Amino acid sequence: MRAAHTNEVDALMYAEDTIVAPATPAGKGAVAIVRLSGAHATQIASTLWRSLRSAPLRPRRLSIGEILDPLTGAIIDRAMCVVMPGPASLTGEDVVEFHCHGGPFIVRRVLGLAMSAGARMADPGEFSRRAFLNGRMDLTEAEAVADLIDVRSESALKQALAQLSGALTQRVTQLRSGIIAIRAHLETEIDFADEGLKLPGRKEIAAEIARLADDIALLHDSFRRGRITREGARATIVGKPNAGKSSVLNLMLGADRAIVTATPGTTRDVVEESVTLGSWPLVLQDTAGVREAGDEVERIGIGRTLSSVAEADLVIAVFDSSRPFDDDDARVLELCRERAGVALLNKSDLRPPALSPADLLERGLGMPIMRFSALSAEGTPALRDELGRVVEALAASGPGDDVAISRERHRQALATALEALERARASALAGMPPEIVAVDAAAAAEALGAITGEVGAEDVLDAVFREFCIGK
Amino acid sequence: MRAIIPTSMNFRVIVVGAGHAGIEAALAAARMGVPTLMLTLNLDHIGQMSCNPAIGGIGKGHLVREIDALGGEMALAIDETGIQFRVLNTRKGPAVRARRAQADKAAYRARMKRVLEVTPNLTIRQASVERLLVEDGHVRGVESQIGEVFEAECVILTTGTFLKGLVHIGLRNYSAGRAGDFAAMGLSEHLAQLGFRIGRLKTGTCPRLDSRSIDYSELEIQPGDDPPPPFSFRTKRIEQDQVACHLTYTNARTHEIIRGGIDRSPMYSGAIQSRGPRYCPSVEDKVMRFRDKERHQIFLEPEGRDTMEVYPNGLSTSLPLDVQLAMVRSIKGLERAEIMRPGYAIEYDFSDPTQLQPSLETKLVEGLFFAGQINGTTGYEEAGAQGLMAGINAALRIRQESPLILRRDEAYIGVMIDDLVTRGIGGEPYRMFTSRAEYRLLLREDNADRRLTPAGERIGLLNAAAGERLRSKDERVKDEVARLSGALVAADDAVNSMLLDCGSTPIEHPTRAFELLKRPEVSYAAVLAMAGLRPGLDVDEAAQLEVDIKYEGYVRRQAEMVDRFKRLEDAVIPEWVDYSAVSGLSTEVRERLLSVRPRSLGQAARMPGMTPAAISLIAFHLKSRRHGPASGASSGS
Repeated sequence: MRAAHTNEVDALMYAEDTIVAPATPAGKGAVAIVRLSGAHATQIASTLWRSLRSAPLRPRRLSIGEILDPLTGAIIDRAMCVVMPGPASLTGEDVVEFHCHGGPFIVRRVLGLAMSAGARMADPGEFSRRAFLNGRMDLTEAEAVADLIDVRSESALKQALAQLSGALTQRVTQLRSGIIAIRAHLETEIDFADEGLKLPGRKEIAAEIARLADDIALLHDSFRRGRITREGARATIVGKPNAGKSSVLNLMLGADRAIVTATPGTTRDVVEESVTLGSWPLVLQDTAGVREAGDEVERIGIGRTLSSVAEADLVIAVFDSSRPFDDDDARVLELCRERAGVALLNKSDLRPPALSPADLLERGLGMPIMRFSALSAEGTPALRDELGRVVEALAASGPGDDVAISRERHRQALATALEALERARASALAGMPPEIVAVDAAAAAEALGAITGEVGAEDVLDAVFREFCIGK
Repeated sequence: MRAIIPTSMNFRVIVVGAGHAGIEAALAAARMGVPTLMLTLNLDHIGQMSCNPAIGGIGKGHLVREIDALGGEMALAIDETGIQFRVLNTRKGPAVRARRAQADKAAYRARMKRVLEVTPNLTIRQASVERLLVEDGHVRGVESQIGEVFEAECVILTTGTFLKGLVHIGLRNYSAGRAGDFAAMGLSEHLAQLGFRIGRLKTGTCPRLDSRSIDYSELEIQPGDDPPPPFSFRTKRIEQDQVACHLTYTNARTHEIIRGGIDRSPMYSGAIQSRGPRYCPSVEDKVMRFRDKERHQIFLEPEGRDTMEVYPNGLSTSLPLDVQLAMVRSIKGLERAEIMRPGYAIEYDFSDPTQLQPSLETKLVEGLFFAGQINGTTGYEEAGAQGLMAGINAALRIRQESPLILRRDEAYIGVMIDDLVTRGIGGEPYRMFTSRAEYRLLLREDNADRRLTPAGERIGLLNAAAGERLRSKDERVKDEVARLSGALVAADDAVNSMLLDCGSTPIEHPTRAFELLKRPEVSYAAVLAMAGLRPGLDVDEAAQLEVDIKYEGYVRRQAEMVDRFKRLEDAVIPEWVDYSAVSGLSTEVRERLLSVRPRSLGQAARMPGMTPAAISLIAFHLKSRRHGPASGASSGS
């Protein structure tokens, strides 16, 4: 099947997607702008937005309200929103901007929600390109973005390869020949049934698919690695209320950033700070305490904690060693399951300890456990060392040292390919006929095309004629 | 030389060539009511199968069913004159099952000639066309070797391998359209003068053996299916007896002989430069390229009921005759075989098909159509399908109606023509494979009528009976779904052992027949047996039912893909588009667009080397011309 063709079609659809990106530089400005552009910009924005006093969004008017997670109803931020309908907008398309509180966490959450609602992360320069294509820029300006157009007019393969390191090129070539081989085997079975050829059986095809899927999964997972190298790892500090999470953050920063009081539940928002561990940047997030929520405000805080943990690369779990293990600790433990990170037995200055490392180990905690005293700052250098080791291990995971993808679009393509291959494998094992397995194999090839360059009918036929002696 | 104009004749379409493309073209135009003239080099060779005596196969059988569903002739002819009928890929899903039949070559030719002769509006003449008459970019007629002039508004060229054909056997070569026929020497020069890009291709065929000299006693026998599956939706059943084919193999000795003679092969000595098809290699190619393969299949196919000639399928060769004979005689069963005609390779001219519109009319000369091998394809079925479309579209042009263009999601014919006019042939003769169709599950032999018969009826190639047949078939499938939904299958030992035989799992409770049919491994026939029901459907109807039920999710996904695909096919690029005014296009892309002149954004996207960025630039250009202020550059019409 010609994935080439559908791939090109998708590429055009791609140009019709609604895109989203931060419009302000990354960092900690007071205000951050998240911008959407495309036919569905308004619709996507309205699923995340609740105006104050439910006033409807009016074109080119700033409206005050809240950004919500449409699934949980959790409030992400108090913000302002403005809608600029096309064609009289920056890009010529419908544009929506959210002006939120600065801070990478909120910006990421808003981007994430917009993407779950159907937007796609914009490519570099994509807003400008759309503006040019829609005649919203004059010739002089257009020349300034001509570079971008040129980049886009190279073939997908060349474009992808140019950005990639040598090792990644090799890996991508491997994926390409892997998917072509699978398709070639299926197509040979269909189109050359009467040639008396020895072809791989269903189980072999399934195994071939599984091997390719493993390779793809490795590359897919390298996205995190690439991001850690670029932006730093993300660590979330969790613990039950008053376990000392904010003190840990302060000690790591060496400053009183978070509000520290003896009242449980003081940190209701997610507090975010950056530190450097050796050569690795680490973004630390302090969160609201994990416990059965009391009021509405606290529920929101705990909801944010959960999504912060889900996004984090590693978890710093803080336990109060002066108190026995309780239900809230159990909730914390649950958050740490199968996660990288460090567990701290805080308040080790208080004697006798009511909670020992053994208590945590026997409940299945799989992280290194350290005694810690926020009061005396005892254990801070050791914590920094340990976190450095964890980040390094995370950054080194995945295929080889310098192989990592960095673009969200590539990660999405790999994820789509993985799903398609899983379906193909299942149908191969279920004894489905080859043309049915081929549907999903073609879908995988099409998705991979975003990275490997298109895989067309001719590529598959080339492989068939190379490998098999066809022709009675 | 003074032109001789046969004044008594008033034609509107002229078809040059009477092979598989020419026949369909002439019949379609004449049946659509257009006075048509067919010119051929040799009236005795109408409908000749120059290569193997068979029609159909995977992908090709699909084409024949489509030709038939539109009202073409090929399926009816093979149903009447075939000597063995089979369905291939029966162990796979219904989407890739395909019919194949052995033909009686002489009977097929005679039948085709008879049909042509009795078709109203159609005249057949023997003549060698040397040049076209072209005025102001419009074809006016043709002129023959001896100066005869025939005038018409449309001309369809179906010249096969005849354009400057050059036959090679060993290191000898001579001009011929195929062994035994003259080549057309002047026409391709003339086309080049008119501005067509002409290329050269190579193909080949097997030696023919004398059946009396073959010892079949030790060979594997390959019979036809019982009952024989007809190709045509219009054929009720095949009445004639079937004959068997036989299977033998090459061996180490054969390969040694071939390697010993390879220095006298025109392919390996460099006498032939042009590329042959990789899917149809000569036996010397197979031996040289796949050295590890110990043996290659040879099917011994009779060329007809009343002839001793046998076609050893798999032994295509252009080695010198002495090597051909030694190699044949090294094969089991062929130890004393006599060669009646030598195998040979042939080089011929073709015209780059990207010079065609999807209607198969050339972009250079209005009213001129090309169909078949002249477009770089190979195969009787590919040729027939193009001939049919060229004939239909020439007639529609005469009627001043818009052309019939089949989309990629409607027919293999649509896939093939779109590939040809959009991407060209890429260096080797183009053959249909099912892998070329991205919506393969929708393009099946069983539903060709559902896909195409309404169009055939609309243009007047099919009568109302065809439409009626289609509607009653749909009714029967619907009724059968209701019947199977109502029928309960008992969970007893007999049923469960049948299920195990199918490779399925036993049932514990009585289950509806319809539910069992959802299992991919349980066939319609098996379900009927388990439910104790009599068959309610024929083979095609059953296939349709099975696809609808077993692969419902997959079919739905492909249908969704088609919806997306259609959006871009519907994004028409108007004739007035000025690519020089589209900012941001590279020179290379711009030139390619100017040459192919795609009709839609979808077609543009399928052009080789086309980039998503280029497509979006064109899309935005069109959008701005339609809605925005028109900026100076050319628009108009």
